[in-house]
Amino acid sequence: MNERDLLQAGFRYALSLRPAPGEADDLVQEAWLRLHRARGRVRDQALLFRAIRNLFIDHYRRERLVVFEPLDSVAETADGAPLLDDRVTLDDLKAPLEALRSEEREALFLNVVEGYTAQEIADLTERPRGTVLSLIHRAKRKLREALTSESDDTPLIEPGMLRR
Amino acid sequence: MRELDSLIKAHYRRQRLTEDRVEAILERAKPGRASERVWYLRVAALAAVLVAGFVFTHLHLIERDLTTRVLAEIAMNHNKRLAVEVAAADYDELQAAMDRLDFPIRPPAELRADYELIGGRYCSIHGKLAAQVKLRARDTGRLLTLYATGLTPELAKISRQETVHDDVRIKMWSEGGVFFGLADGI
Repeated sequence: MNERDLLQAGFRYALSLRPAPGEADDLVQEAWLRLHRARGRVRDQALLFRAIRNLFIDHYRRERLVVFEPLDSVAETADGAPLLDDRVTLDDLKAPLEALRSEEREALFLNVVEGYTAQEIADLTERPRGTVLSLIHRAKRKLREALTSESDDTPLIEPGMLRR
Repeated sequence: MRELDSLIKAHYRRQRLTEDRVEAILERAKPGRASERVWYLRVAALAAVLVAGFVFTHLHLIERDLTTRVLAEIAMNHNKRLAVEVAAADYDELQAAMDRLDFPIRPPAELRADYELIGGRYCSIHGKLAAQVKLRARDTGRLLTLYATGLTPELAKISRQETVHDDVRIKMWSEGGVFFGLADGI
């Protein structure tokens, strides 16, 4: 993966942590420059993701925005879930995705977009594997509920109702 | 019907930094501009090497200066060829006569075997009270001078060596808490 592709991957990962493009841009830029100063070059996506994540955690700790909640005790990802209606568009996904908690969105992104296994996500995020599975499961359930209700024009979950 | 995963992938694939932003970030990270820390480390390493070199050189010069001064003292005293103040046939007798000395002036056994003791007198080496002992080589009859003084931390810095200074062959060493210098005119 060349530097440009790495930067784009880093940006998408940063978006999974901070959905606002400006903040994600800041995160990836700062992580990139820090890695460059420390190592001279950035080649490893896992390293870039970790740097972005560390910056994100630092930022959140400073702002005291980290919210810890008890997670579902049942961990599952098996979707066997119904397909979405064809009328659902990418634009419909944006708000429910942003309404997810950051740890749900992060786990979902790493699993679905980057293809990380639950164990790899657990290693990166330093969470138990069961917790990661639960996060992914819950994120998908919330999205599915939101998208289904939107397509029915009777939203079950408004963006502001879900904790981020 | 659509699959949720496909929708999520498509959503993120659509998210991209603009080319301008990518260029700007890569430009800021270019080695010539962004590797300040590396340069700081290089400068610090160079400074450390320079300081270490300076200290080493300084210490070396101090030791060389000290050695040169002691060599000069021994050579000068030897060349004066002053007569002994205390004639003695053995070292116990000499030690007893030179009772101001606070160190044993008995040289190593091989030196005692090769050289006959004539006598001694007080002198000083590097500002410290010392014994100047006159010896005669048993085989050639040459007169040599043995200098002895209590070992100080400074004199201990002088390494064991044999050299020629002002036409005098001088051997210096330390043992048993005593600093010795044996001078032999060339």
